[in-house]
Amino acid sequence: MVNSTPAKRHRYPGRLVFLLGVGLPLVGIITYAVQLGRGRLATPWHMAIDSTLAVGLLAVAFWQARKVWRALAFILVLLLAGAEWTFLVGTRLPAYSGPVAAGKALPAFSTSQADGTPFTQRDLVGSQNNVLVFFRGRW
Amino acid sequence: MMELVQLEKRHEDFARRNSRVIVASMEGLEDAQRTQEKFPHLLVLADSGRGLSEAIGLIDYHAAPGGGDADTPTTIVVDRDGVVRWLFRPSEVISRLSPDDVLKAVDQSIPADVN
Repeated sequence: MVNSTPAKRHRYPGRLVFLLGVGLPLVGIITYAVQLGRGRLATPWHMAIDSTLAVGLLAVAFWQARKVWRALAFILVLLLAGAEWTFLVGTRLPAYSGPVAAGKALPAFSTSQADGTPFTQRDLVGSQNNVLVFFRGRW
Repeated sequence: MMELVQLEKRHEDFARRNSRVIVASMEGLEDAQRTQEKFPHLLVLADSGRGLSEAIGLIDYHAAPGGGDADTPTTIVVDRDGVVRWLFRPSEVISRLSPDDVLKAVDQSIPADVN
């Protein structure tokens, strides 16, 4: 007679992998929020990378235990990763190809200050250096 | 607008470098005035007539909500003689330079004015 102990089965196989898969996208979002809070406005590639890794982890977790909620988490994170990549890649800008170049004067222009006072390239010449920052707007 | 908040907070660092920060968008006078009130140490330009954006080639067509045009986020350092010393355009529209990045660019492109 062979006296053997049956292998102990995990009640929740792949649970750690599942939790990592759910947590990674949250870490990405929180990291980006902290980054913005610290005034770092760099592109959050890490967020999309985190979500992509999470998709892989959730696929493994689903493979280990085919539960409905694991499938739902996989689909949600897959959609999140897709949205993040689409947004980041879709917001790429072409390289600047206009007339401005280092070592040359700015082209002649005419615009106005917020109070309506005219402002031209001649107003950039004087005692101060200038940093021109173009932004999208108040929206 | 977050970059404007950051630049306003660091206005003294720009002043120490004898540099003025000018912020421009294609919005009209009313919006520009509100921006000016919010950021008193920045010089706000209202370029709704596109005199500046077209001359420099910065218009991002149909980029604004509702399909309107907007300026492409760009930073240009110009010395006191009106000569361009440095130009930066981010590779993604949501990316912006931090004030430290801009100050570093000023230091490196116009080193004589660092105090």
